[in-house]
Amino acid sequence: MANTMVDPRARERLHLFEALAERHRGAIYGLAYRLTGNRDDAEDLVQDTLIEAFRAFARFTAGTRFDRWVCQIMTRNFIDSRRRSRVRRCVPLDDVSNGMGLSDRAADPQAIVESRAREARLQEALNQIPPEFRAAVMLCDGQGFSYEEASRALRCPVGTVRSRLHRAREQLRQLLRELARKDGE
Amino acid sequence: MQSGSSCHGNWSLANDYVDGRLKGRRRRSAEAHLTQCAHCRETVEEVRRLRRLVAETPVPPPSTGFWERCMQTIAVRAQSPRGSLWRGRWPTVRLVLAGALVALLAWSLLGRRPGGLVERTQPSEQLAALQSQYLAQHVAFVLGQPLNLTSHYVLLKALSEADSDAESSGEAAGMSVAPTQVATASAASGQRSLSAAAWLVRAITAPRRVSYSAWQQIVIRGPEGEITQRVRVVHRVPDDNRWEYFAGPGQVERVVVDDGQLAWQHLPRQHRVIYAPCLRADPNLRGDQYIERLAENYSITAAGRERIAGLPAVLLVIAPRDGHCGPTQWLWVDEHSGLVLRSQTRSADGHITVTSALSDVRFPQTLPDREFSPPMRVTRQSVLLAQAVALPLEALAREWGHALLTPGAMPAGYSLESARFVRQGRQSFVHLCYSDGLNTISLFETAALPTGASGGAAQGDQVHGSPAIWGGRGSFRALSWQEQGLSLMLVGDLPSDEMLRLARGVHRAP
Repeated sequence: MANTMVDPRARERLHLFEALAERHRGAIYGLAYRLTGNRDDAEDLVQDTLIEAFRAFARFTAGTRFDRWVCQIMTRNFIDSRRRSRVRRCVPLDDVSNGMGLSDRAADPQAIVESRAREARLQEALNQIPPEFRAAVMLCDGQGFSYEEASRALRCPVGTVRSRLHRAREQLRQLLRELARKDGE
Repeated sequence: MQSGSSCHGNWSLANDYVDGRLKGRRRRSAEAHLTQCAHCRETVEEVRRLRRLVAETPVPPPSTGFWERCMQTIAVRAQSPRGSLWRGRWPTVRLVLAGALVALLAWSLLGRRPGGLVERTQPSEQLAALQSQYLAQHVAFVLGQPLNLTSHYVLLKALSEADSDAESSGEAAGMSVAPTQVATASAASGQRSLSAAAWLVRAITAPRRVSYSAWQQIVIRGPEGEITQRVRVVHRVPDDNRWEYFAGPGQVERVVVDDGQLAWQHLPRQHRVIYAPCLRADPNLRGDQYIERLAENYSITAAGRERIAGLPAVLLVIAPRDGHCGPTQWLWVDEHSGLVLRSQTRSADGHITVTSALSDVRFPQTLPDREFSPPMRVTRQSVLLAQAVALPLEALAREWGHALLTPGAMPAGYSLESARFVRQGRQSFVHLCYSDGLNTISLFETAALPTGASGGAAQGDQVHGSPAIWGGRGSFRALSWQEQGLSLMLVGDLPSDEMLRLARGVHRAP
């Protein structure tokens, strides 16, 4: 699609951006999904984030990992949008399992079911904790951010990241126990 | 998670422990406690399980074709007026800094050595000194890549990010990155060679971004032997440089400082400060076509990673393309700062002719002004305050008042880069500089000097019936001769037979 562009430098930039985004698509979409909790919102968040990232590509500095840079933009977008709307969105859980593991025909059906259930429980638990907590746990545990990196992404002190992360894990632990109990595990 | 026996599986401490936030005594205390407390061990294990669950649980895939739609949207936005934010965002970048760092060093090095061009030349010492200054400039060019970049900067910068991204990913995974991996992302867009060139751009623009101090060792090897110089280097963003030369342990022999316009040199034993124009002050030194020309004549390859001076570095190999006549240069570029930590120049036959290596590299937050200020109560002198102007060839000949001589057929890939008229007191000379983007070949012309004025030794070669005198340093060869009432000096990193061929092809400009 970049080939239709007239300016060769702009085309090259777009090529490069596409290549980097493609390379990190798993991490980018994964974070979006975990933050929003459903596919439609995740796709919206990815698209908005990538558009913003492309506009800011000139500020992308050497030595920065592209996936982390995009995840930082995404997290800020997510937190800002949640603060603006202050609306906790409902998450259709039947949407969660869409396609999960089904492509692997050789997989053990029981393992697939268990994997789906685990994923659904994790997402449901994540959906029930505050967005700021969710972002902290997804950046640090999901994306491997250090406290300092998460602090920059979340625009809060390192101590706040630590506090949010600990409380997020504590709440997740309790929620996962309750959900597992409901599922009879 | 406390050293006492009354713990209740402290959740926060368990998190800190798993996240590696406990250091020293607190960590040792926690570890000692864990060996005794099953409850806390379970708490720690629970935190670890949670981390694994969040990290490893896959998410459902997006809808079919989502990624393509997403990229299409970005492409459309990129073409819209609002999307074209790129234009004008980057200021014009005029960079001749990195090379000049080495330029003054090389200038100082050449000027200091007994037998160097400055001290050997008689009777026209100043003129020859000026020539040596230009010779040093050529050395600097090869060593440091002075550049004047404008239009290519944005693209190359962007491509360099692809490389650094590939690098940092590899590093995070604890891998050694092979050449193909270094350029992974840019290879995806079919720009692998530019991608490596982007590292080069990072290297040459580093001094504009990074203040540093280091020890630098330069070794120049040539037929005349080997010159080694160890120098303390201090650089402050954007244009301040300081070099300290030592006569022995703790004995500063001299200090050279420049601010991008003026250079001064302090000789403590003589209580003198000598001022000179800064080599890089000439804005015509490099053209905007530098990278294009370099890429036409040389391949630029990111050949792997190594640790240099304790820092992770990308090795760039700049090698002449098939059939092109020029040196090969290896650069080790610090992944983080972009600083050239080490460089090697190899002649066409594979011999290393010049090496430069930094050690004990530090990146101080601030550097005091006194580091870059001349000392008080010393004799002050100005030398080599020559005026140099770049002119078209015809105007240059008129200004000079002599018939201009130009080389014959240059090697493929070389073209005229600058033509300058230099006036030094009552003397004047012309400097024609040809470049292939990396290497330079210069022809200096002045009113005839006494034989031997330009130093070196005759080896039986002749140019147009005049004895040819060879000189130079390292791989740079200087060939002097006289004809048509002029003294000429050809300077370049080329084999002797090629130098002779060029000299013999010199003719009056039409």
